[in-house]
Amino acid sequence: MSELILKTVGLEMRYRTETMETLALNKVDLEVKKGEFISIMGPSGCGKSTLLNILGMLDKPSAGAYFFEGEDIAHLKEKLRAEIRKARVGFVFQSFNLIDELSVFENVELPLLYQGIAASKRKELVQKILERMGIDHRATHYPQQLSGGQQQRVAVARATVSEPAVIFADEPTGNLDSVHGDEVMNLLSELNRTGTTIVMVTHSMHDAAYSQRSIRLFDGKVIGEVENRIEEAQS
Amino acid sequence: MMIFNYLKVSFRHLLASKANSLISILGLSVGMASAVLIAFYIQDELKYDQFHSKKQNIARIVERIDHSGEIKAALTSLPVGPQFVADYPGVSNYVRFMSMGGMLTIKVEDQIYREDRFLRTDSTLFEVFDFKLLQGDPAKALAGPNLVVLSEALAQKFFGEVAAAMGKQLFIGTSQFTVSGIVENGDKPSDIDYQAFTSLSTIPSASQQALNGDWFRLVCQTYLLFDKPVEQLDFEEELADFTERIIKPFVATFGSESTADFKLQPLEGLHFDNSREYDSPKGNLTYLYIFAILGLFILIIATINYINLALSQSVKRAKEVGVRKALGATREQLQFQFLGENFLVVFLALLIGAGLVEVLLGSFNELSGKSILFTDLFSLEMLLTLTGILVLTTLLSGLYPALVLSRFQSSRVLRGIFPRMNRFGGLRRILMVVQLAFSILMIIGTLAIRSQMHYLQEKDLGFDQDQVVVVNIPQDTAVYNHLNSFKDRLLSHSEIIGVTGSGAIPGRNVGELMFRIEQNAEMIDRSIKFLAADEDFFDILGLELLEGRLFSSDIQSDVQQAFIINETAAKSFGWEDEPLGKRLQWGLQGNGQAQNDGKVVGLVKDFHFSSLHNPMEPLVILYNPNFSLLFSLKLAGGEVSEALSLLESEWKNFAGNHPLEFTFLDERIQSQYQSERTLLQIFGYFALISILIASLGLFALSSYTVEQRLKEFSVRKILGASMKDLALLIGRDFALLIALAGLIAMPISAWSISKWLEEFSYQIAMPWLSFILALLGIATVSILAMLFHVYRLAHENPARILRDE
Repeated sequence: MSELILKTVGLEMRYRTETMETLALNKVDLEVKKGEFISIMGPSGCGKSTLLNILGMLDKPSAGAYFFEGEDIAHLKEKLRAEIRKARVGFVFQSFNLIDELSVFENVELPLLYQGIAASKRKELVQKILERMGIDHRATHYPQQLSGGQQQRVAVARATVSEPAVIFADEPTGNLDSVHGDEVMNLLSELNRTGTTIVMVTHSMHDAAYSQRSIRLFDGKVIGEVENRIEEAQS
Repeated sequence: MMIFNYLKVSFRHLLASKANSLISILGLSVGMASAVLIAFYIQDELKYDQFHSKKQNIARIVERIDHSGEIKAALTSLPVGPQFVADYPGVSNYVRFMSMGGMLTIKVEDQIYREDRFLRTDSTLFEVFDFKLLQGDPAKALAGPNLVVLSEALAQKFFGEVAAAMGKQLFIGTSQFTVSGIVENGDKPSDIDYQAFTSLSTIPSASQQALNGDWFRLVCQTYLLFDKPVEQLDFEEELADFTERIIKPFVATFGSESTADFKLQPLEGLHFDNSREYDSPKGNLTYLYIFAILGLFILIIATINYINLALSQSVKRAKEVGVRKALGATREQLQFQFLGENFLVVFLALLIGAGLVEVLLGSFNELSGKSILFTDLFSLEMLLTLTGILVLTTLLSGLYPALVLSRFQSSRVLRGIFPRMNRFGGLRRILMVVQLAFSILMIIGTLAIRSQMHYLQEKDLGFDQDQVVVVNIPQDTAVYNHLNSFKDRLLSHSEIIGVTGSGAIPGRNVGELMFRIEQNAEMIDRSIKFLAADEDFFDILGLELLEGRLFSSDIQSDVQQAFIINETAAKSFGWEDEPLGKRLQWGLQGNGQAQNDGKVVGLVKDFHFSSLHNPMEPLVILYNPNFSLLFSLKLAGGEVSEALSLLESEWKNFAGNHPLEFTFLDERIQSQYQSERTLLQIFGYFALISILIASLGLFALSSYTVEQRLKEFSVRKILGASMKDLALLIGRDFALLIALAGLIAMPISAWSISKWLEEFSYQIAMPWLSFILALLGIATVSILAMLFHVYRLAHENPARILRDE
C-alpha cells in the first residue's frame, strides 16, 4: 500500500453568526494516498467546498487534525501554511479565477514568481506547460479574450506549472459546456497518470467517474465511499 | 521579478478606471504641488539671513531711548557700532545700514532711473556678511566716500553689461558716485534688502560730526560681529556699562532725565522679531503656522480622494488577493504589494506635482514677494520635506487599503463571495465628512479674512488719505531754513491745494512723549502719544474740530502754550466735561521743571493715527510750525502727475543735493496691512485649490454611491420611483453628511477666526454670513454632483442593470 499524502482525523468546521452556529463539517475522517484521484460529492451546502478549502490550507478547521505529507498542519500559522501551499499545492476553481490584468503567460508564471524561480527557468517552465495544455499560441492574450474552456486550461496550467504534489479542483467543469468540460477532465486524468494527486469537488456523476474513488458528503458528514472504474468513464 | 508583476497589475488597474484614476492622481499632484509651494514659502521665511557663515556670531544691537517719550527702535544712533568695537574686546566688528530713502533719482550718463533700496553702509560689510562681491575688492569697495556697489541686475540695467560698470560714474540725486564693485543680486532671503550699497562715509563730514555726537538720533541699523557665538555671550553687563559710561554723561550735558539703553538681537530668529519700531518688514510666525496647517489640509483632502479610489477598486481586486493567497502569497507580501503600488502612484503624483511647481513658481513668487528657484527643490531641506510628504501621503493613502485588502479571505473570494462595498460605507462617510469639514473651514476662513481686510480698507479712519503726497524733509540746516519759502512756492501752483509740515503723519513716526497733565488739581506725569504739526495739518487731513480752536500762526504763544487733544485723550484724562483750558506740560528737565507749559485749546474728533491693529489712544498735538520732518501735499483731483513733476522741479531749487523721497499717504496706510494681504492672497488661492480637489472627490464619491446602490435604485425605478424620488433618497444621505461636516467645521472656524481677529483692535463681528455661504456653497456643489449621477441613472434601462447583476 502506497503512503498517505492527506489524512484528516475528526475534522470539524463551525461557522458562527450572531444568532446561530452551523456545523459545516462534522468529524470528517479522510485518507488520500499519494497518486490517488478522488472526488468529493454531495448536494449543495453539504460542506464539500469547506472541506476542500481546509484540505487546500485556505481555511483552518475548528477542531480535529489534518496531516499533510505526514505533518499535522491543522493549526499552523498562516505564514507557514502559505509556504506549504506555494510549494506543494495547486488549485483549479469553478470560476477560473485568473487575474484579469495579467496575460495568460503572466498568470501561469505567478506561482513560480512566488517561489522565487529565476526568469529564464520560469520562461521555460511556463512555455512547456502551455504547450502541454495546448494554449501556447494564446500566451500574450488576456483572460477576457479566451473562451471558458481555454480559461480553465490556463487555470490548470497555472495549478500544475510548479509541479505540486496535490491539485485541488473545485467544480472545475462547473462553468463549462460538456465538450470543454471533458477536455479539462482529460487534462486532470493525464496529470494524475503522471503522478499528481488530485482531490476534486463535484456534483457531476460524469466528472466523478474520472476519479478512482468518490467520497459522499451529507450535512458535513462522510456517509459513504464508491470505487470508480476509470475505463468505464473513458469509453 | 515580482515587483514588475505588481507594477503591471497596478498600472493596468489604473488604466481600467481612467476617469477616477485621473481625478485622484491629478488631485494628488495638485495637492502635492500646493504643499511643496507652501513648504517653499515656509522654508524661505525660516532661511532669512541664515546663509551668512558668521551668522552665529552676529547680532543686531538696538536702542531704546526714553527722551520725553519712549521709542523702542530697531535702530541706533550712528556712533554706537564703532564705540562698542572700541570699548569691548569681544566685539570684533560692526556694520551699519542707513536707507537712502524711498525712490531715488539715479542719473547714469544722460539716462534717468528711479530706483529704491539703496543702502548706505560701512566698508566692513563684506567682512561681516556673506553678500558675494562679484567684482571689486571686498575690503576697498566701500572704503572712502562716494563709492557705490551695484547689484548685478542694476549694473546690467545702467551700463548694458556687468563688466562695463566698474569704475563708471553715476549720480544719486545730486551726488556723484563711482562704481567700485558688483554684488550678487539680493535674491537670497535677507532682511537686508538692497539693490545697491553706497559708502556711509559719503555723508558730509559736518553731518557726520553732528550725528556722531548725538546718542539720541536713531538713524541706522547696527550689526555687531562677536568673536564667539551670540548665544554663548553674557553681554548684559557690557550693555549696562555702556549706558552708565556713555549715555549718562551725554544726557547730563543737556540736563534732563532722559536715558537710552541697548539690547542685542541675535541674527538667528531676528526675522520674526516684530517688537521694534522703524524696522524693515519682518515675518510673522503665526502666519507660517497657518500656512503649514493649510498645506497639511490640502494634502489630506487630496489623499482622501485617493483612498476612496483605492477602496472602490478593492472589490475588483478581491479576486486577485484570493488567487495570490491561494498561490502562496502571505499577507505581508500582499501588504507590501499594495503599499508599494501606492508608493509608486504617490511618487508619480509627486513628479507631476513638481512639474506643476515649476509652472506655478513664477506666479507664486510674485504673489508672495519671494524669489524662490525651482532648483531649490533639490536643497537638503526641501528633499527632506519631499520625502516627508511622500512617506506621509503613502502611509495615509495606502495603509488602510493595504490592511483591508490583504485580509480578504481567499476561501470566500474564490467561491465568488465578494466583500460588499458597504463594508467601507462607514469609513467613506467619515472621510467625506472630513473633506467637507476642511472645505467649509477653508471657505469660511477665506471669507472671514476678506471681510476683515475689506473692513480695514473701507473703515473711516477719521481723516482724508486720498491725494496726499508725503515728502521726507532732509535733516540739513541748509534746507531747514527755507521750509517756509518752499511751502509758499508749492502753494503757488494750483495743482497743489494745500501743504502742511509736521513731525509725523498717520501711519508714520507718531512718537510718545512724557507729559505732565492736570488731573484732580494735581500735575501727574504720563507718557502720551504725540505729534507736532503746523496750523494747516488739520485742514489737509480733514480732521474735525469738536470744541475750541485750531492753532494759529497769529498767536505767538501757541508754539509753547497751545495743545490740541483727541477725544480719547479727553476721556482718558477725565476731561470730557470741559477739556478746554486744561493744563499740560512737556520738556521735563532734571530739576523737575518743564520747558513748555500750556493749555488745551482744541478738541478734535478721534482719528486713526496708527494702524487698526492698535486701539485708539490718547493723542496730544503740539504746534511746531518750524520743525518738520515731513511735508504733506494735498493735490487737486485728477492732476497727480502734473503735481508730481511740479514737486520735482520745486525740489531741485529747494534741496537739489538731496534725493526727493515721497510716498502717497493712502499707499502708506495700506502698507500697514501688507502681511494680512499676503495672507489673504495665499490663503485664498490655496483654499480655492483645496475646494476644487474636494469637489472632484465629491463628484467621484457620489458616483460610487450611485454605483453601489445601482440594483436598489433599479428595483425602485421598476416599482415606479421617479428621478426626484431617487435624488431625494441620495440627497438625504448627503445632507446629513454636510450638516455633520458643518457642525464640526463651524466651531473650529469660529474659534480660529476670533483668535486671528485678536490681532486687530478694530475688527469685524464674527462673520456668520460667511458660515452660511460656505455651507450653501458646499451643498450646491454636492447637489450638482449628485444630480449628475442620478440623471444618468434615470436614463438607464433598469431591466438591463438587473440582468447584468
